[in-house]
Amino acid sequence: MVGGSRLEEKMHFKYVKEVTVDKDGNHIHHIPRPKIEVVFRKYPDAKNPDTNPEFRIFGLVDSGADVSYIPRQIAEILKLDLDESTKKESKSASESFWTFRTQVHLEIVYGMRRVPIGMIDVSVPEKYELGDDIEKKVLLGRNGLFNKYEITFNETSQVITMKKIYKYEPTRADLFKKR
Amino acid sequence: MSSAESQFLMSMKNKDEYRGKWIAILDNKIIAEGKDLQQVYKEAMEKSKVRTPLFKQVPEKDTEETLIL
Repeated sequence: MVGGSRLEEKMHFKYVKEVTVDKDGNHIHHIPRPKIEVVFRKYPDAKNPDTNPEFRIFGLVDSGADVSYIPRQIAEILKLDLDESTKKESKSASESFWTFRTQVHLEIVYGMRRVPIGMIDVSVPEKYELGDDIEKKVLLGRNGLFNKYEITFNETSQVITMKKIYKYEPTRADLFKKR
Repeated sequence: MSSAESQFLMSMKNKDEYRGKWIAILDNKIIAEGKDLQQVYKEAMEKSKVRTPLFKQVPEKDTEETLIL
């Protein structure tokens, strides 16, 4: 279902808290993280397995990332265009690496609904991620998301709130008043 | 608010049999699993047809780790 109601004007997401049980029966409480469920597609149109596949996964809401980031394995499933002319050097906390810059369509999964965010800029690394580090590197950065939603991280209650930003556009009456 | 698939994922306390693998979840079921994401995606999309499953990579080790990106 595609959204569009008032419900999506202000959304609340609990941090993802994973609890697992090890071989000895001990409970392991993993660090709660501000992750939300999203769907990526190459184009805004309806999905098409051949030309416009989609991928649904958790992404970390990352206010420290200038743009969103999708590991190369996922970008290839989405058939994103990785053009050599868009390559740029990017920096993480620990290293510099080369990334392609492209765009992808983003939707946020909110309960049973999908809230369309639109086309966002995304970086895709030149190199493939190794091992089990792929999923944790899906990052939802500022460009394309934080300029459409006012995003608040409440670390105490472990909730992210996303409030839609409406840009002020003067009506004809407002313009008339100014004269 | 979370989807049925993410609720199912959070309820999975023991993921030992899926360690180091990708899983595809639809409703309350794992419909595909494996180490190769491309293969898991292909198999899952063939089974799910219209709907898109939730994909999750289960870490190799069940240890708490700190992320500094």
